[in-house]
Amino acid sequence: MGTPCRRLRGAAAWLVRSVLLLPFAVALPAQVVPPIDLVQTSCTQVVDPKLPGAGVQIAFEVQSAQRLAEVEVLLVQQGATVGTILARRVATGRPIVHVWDGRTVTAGTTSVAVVPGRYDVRIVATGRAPLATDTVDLPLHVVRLGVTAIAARSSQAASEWQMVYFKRGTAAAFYGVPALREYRNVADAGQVSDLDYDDGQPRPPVPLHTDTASPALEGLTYEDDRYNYPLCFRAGTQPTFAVTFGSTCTGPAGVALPVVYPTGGLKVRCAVGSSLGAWVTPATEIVAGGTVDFVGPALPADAGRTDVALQWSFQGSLDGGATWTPIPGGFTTQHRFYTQLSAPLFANTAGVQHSGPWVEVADYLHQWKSALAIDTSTADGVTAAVILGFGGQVGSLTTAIEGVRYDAYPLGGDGGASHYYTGTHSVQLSRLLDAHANGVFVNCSDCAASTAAMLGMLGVADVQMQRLGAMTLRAIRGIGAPAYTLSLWGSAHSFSYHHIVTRTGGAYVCDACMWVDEDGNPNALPGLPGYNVDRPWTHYAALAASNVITFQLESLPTLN
Amino acid sequence: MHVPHFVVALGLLAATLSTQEGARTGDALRRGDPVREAAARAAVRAEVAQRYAAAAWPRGTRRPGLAFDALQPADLRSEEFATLDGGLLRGTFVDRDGRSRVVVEAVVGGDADAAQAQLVAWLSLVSRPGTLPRADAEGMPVGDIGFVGWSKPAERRVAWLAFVRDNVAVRVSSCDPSADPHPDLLAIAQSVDAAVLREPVLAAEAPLPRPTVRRFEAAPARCRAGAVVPLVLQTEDPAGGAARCAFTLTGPGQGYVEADPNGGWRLHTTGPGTLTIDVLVTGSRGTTATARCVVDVSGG
Repeated sequence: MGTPCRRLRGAAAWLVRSVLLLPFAVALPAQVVPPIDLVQTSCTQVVDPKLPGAGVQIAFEVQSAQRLAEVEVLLVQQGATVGTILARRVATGRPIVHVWDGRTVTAGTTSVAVVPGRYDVRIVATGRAPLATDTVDLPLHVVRLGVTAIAARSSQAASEWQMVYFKRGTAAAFYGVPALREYRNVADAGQVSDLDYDDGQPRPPVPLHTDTASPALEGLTYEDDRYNYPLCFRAGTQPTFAVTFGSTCTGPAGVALPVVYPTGGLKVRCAVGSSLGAWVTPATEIVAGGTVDFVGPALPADAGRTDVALQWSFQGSLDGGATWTPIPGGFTTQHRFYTQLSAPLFANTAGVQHSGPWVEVADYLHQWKSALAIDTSTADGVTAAVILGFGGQVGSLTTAIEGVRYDAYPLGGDGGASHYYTGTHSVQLSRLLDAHANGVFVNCSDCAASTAAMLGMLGVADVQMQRLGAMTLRAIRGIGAPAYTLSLWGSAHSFSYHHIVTRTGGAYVCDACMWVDEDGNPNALPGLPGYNVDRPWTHYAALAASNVITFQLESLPTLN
Repeated sequence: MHVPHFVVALGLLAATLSTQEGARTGDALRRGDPVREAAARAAVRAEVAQRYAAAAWPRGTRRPGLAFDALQPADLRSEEFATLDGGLLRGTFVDRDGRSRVVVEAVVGGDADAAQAQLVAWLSLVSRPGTLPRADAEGMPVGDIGFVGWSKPAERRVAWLAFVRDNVAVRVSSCDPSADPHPDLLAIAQSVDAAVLREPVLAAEAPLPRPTVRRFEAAPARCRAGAVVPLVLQTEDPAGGAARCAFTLTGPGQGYVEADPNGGWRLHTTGPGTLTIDVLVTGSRGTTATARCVVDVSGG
């Protein structure tokens, strides 16, 4: 953004004088000085020198009949010279464009830091023989721009949910992501300003927090001044970001300074772009320390994970908002969106205080649906991704979730005991997702309770557990097993009971614990993988066992 | 895929015979019918109890519990102690590399019947048909009654041991019975058994000692989202030890509870709405008590 020269004089005027006054040259020889003139002058009007890509562009041209005209550029505040931007040099007579970083000027032999404030960029052209000068002052506002907090909000009713973590470092702990601001980048205790470190260097944007187990930590406690947590929105909705802009920066002496916008003569506004599209704000300007809403483009319509880079740029206006010109530079923040088709459902908390290892579950869904190329824009797709992904050993998923194996003697386990599902109809899902902390072996109840809880957390409706009675098994492949078997326990091949999942009251069933054999001969080996994703109950019962199977429906398990 | 007709017919018959849920959907389906489900589980456990001849199991006396959080198996270190639904105590023990090796679970019941009911509950979640061998029959004396989950019987690898001593039910599990070195689960189980036996026998009519919560409140009980509110929690352990506290928060308000540097508790509010805080206090002998307070969190 530049300001053109605000006056016309110099060479053009000299030409007029020379021609018109030529007849009187004899009378006026000493007054006719070959003029020197600055033309085509412009300068960036507003700059935050600490923004990546920022700079002050100063352009001018010296027009002079003198061969040895010189030019220099100074930074001036309230008439006093702060320092030199461009040292005196011979003017070439061609247009000059100088880009200054805006951060320091030279005063004598020292470098002087430029702090936010209202300045003039003074361009001085000097002719040496005889002496002549031309000076142009161009206004420059030095400001400091940055985001200190972002709170994610629903644009539509109930479409954003706070995510939670289940560990603190290595210890078990519940942590709910701050709903007030999921992104925060402010002064740590003892530091003087929010936008800069104490040495004056800009505080960079906070990288994404990608750990799915533990929140950001600062030593032994939760990080409270610098974090960037993932967000969870309903698929296809437009997220709203309530963005707070910083009001303090750090000067050269390590002291807090104001960011100096808006002022009487300066307005600033902010624009946000992203790979998904532009974010729209109703605000006509931003103010230091103020909060402005930005509504983003629609998120993907399927359940999963989307990382979005937001490009932040700014514009300034010196005429009360009539015209706006770009402020050079900008910055980028990264944001992670988990999308779900519906609100998360938790059995023990009425679905409102989100609990359990939810971030990890949401991330697993993304990994599984990506690995298996499953369309998760429907509950059917989400269910397929969870059931197939949990069992693993399909597609590029080489192992079951967390590397678990079915609890059977031939696999190194025992007689199929539960290790994560408890007798109180709850499941220790956090322990399972914590590198199978209760052990590498799982049984059917562990698998059914875990997948049921995960489906609920991912917003799949009407999920129930289904406890089956005794089963005389046909060929099956247990979770984590290398092959199909007809001797699950080494000799016997039956269940005293079995646990599966349904979301249709038992009409269709899901079983991540074992595959049935679909090669047309389910009583013999080898087996052909028959994944149990919403399989009709009659079909499942027929392929899994040779006896009549009774069942009892159970509610969604609670989380422990 | 070809499925024999008789197989399909059997499946259809099974479906017909099976208990059907009806047309309930949504929240009702998710929360289920606690009474019906409890009855169904009771029926399952009754069958298991009968299969294991539980009526003939020896019944011991009553003790205050055990010093659960003081358990320390040889060559392992405790990673965490927790209390789950139903008063289920869980201790995890890791090796020098930090790998989970042994999980010890226990329930301090009101009496021997309650403890044995927990043992039946564990047995009811074993998929293998038939019954597991009794510990004493396998040459592993522990508790009044116990059962062994073998991994590789020929190698005498114990996957888990579950037993009842008096009114305390215990299960000791190997996290990976196929891994070496294999922890000596019998020795660990016997050390837990000894911890129970170190407690005095309770008088016949004496109530089971439980921790008490003398005071539990947020100060103040109203705040703006983002505020950090001290929780006043005064507990008393019947054995004079330290109580362990765990908090469950129910929204629509948002927050979490953290210990402060002085050993107190603080509620960190992160979102507006009414917040119900339930504290589960576990005494030094494994018995529990609960208390609740409510905090009104307004918009930040």
